[in-house]
Amino acid sequence: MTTPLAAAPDNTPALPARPSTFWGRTAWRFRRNPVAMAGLVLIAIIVLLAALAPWIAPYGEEVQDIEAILQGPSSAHLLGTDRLGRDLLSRVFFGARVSISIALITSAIAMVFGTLLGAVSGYLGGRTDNVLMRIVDVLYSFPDLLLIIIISVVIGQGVVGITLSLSLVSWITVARIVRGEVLALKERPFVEAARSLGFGGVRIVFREILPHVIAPIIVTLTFRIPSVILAESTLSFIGLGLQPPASSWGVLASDGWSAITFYPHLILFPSLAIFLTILAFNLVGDGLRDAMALRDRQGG
Amino acid sequence: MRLRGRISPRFLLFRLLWGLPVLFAVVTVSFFVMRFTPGGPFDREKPLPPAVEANLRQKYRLDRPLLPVYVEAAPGDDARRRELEGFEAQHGVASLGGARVVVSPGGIAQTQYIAYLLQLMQGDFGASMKFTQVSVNDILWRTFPASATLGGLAFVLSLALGVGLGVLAAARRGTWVDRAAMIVATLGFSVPNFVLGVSLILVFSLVLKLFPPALWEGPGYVVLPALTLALGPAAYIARLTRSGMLEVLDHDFIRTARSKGLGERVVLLKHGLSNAAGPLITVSGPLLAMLVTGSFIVEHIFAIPGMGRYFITAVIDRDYPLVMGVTVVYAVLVVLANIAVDIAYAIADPRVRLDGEP
Repeated sequence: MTTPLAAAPDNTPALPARPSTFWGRTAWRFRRNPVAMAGLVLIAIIVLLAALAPWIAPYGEEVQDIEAILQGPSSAHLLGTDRLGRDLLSRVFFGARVSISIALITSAIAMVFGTLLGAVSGYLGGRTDNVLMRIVDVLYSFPDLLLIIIISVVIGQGVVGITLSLSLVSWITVARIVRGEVLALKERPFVEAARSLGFGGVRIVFREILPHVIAPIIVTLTFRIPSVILAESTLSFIGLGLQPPASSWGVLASDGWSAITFYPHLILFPSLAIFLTILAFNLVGDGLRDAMALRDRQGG
Repeated sequence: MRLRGRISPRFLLFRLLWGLPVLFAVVTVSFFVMRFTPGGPFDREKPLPPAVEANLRQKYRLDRPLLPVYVEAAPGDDARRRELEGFEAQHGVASLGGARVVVSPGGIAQTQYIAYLLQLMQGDFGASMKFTQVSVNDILWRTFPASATLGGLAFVLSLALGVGLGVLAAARRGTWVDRAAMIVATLGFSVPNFVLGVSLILVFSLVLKLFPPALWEGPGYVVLPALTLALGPAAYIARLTRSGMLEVLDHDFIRTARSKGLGERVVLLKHGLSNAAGPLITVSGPLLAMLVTGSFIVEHIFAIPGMGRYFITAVIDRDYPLVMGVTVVYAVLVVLANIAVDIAYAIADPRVRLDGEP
């Protein structure tokens, strides 16, 4: 698994001619796509703001200013304050930590399990494949959000519970895509060659087949992250996701919803943050897919 | 368009029957997941008197064992132990040390899970545990029309908007029209439902006062929720249509059609779109089911009395029968939608035959 990743985008020098390796070409094409690059910059800014929140937020997350309750944007509070006099800008920064980390951890879990199960299912075929795919069929017959709601009610609605329930649903998409790729690849001559050299199944899957699947996995993952952010914020917004005092962007928006008639800023700014983040990841996903010349496959 | 001989009733029956195991699995999974969820339907801020709660539990069969296998009162849980002993006396449960095994056929049918399955086979979802005077069937009948109207409208709207935008973009490939259409699509694709709904309410209800912000009392009330629900799928369909069209438009038969002197509209719609329809059909089946039942975010925001809104409160209240009812209706719709997709394929593509064993 290490070789193709080692040649990953950044360290390729900007060549005048098109680079010859797959990853070199991908990076070359991606950098020439201004929209995708804008998305990447946006993601970098958001992640940076989230990571540095404790140092750059103008106020603490829970600091209340009783003199300034439910104020609109002002120079002291750039995005205004909520009903407890907490600075909204600071809360959006801190909310980013929750929203982004849930999305990243969920996607990582989904990638590991989805890839493993998809690869095993596709490579072994037969009964294993049948059983796993029937499970996937059943899970697909539930609406995503409904399934997440039911699971999160069981494991709990803290950050850990929500992350786990989102992961339990997210791996399915990855598994389906990986399985499809593995099914197609395992008949190819190089796999035959590996088999006739006497390599075991594990080695064939991990060393021979999976490196060829990394590109679609990366694209799927890039689209997974925004859909996790979407699912989490939606659930929290309707009150079935994270519960306060945990405060993701969805919780903030939910808070603002109750006061929308008179204080629309409370819902506007968290919503904007959610929208921009989802947009940025989708732009990068589009750019990556185009750069890798993969088929249009949203992975949703 | 001739379908005779290409779709056999036998095949359709086969597909329908194939949906049964899926439904069975959905019912089973959601049944047990709900039952193992902490909290119960009769939890109140102020606890109910034990006698009342016991009566309620009996009425809704919650005093019975879940499965005809192994039931056991937790050590020290005397109330549960007495409950099981009472059940044992009534329905023939044999005691086996601390655990119990249901032996008599009558006893098996009395366990919660089997009784629910039997009841479901008669098309009865049971009584709601929250709205005590109403059956789940009643609630579903009463709320489904609102959800279906909203979902159906959103479906038509998203197909019309999406296909229109996608064809336009493909026809003007590389021009500013194409770029603008795709920017709109990417934006629409990235707006969460609730953000869009809230923005529409802010602009069109609170500022412009054009449409009502909530409730479900006439044609004007449909506009904002239907738009909210449709925009995301429309954006997705626009992208799908565009990429499908671009793939098709490079083919020789398009050049032939053009060189025959056919108008651009005929070439695009008849030769282009009908050959690019495959992926559209694939996504539109599940999409329809999702829009018809899964609109609970939108129903929640706009306070529409649909199935979805009841689902949310049902989960919070642990109203087991109602949660199960909505889930089952959804699963049935998914199964039917998938069959409809197969038939739509056959309509769109004369090469497709649906008559073998699936």
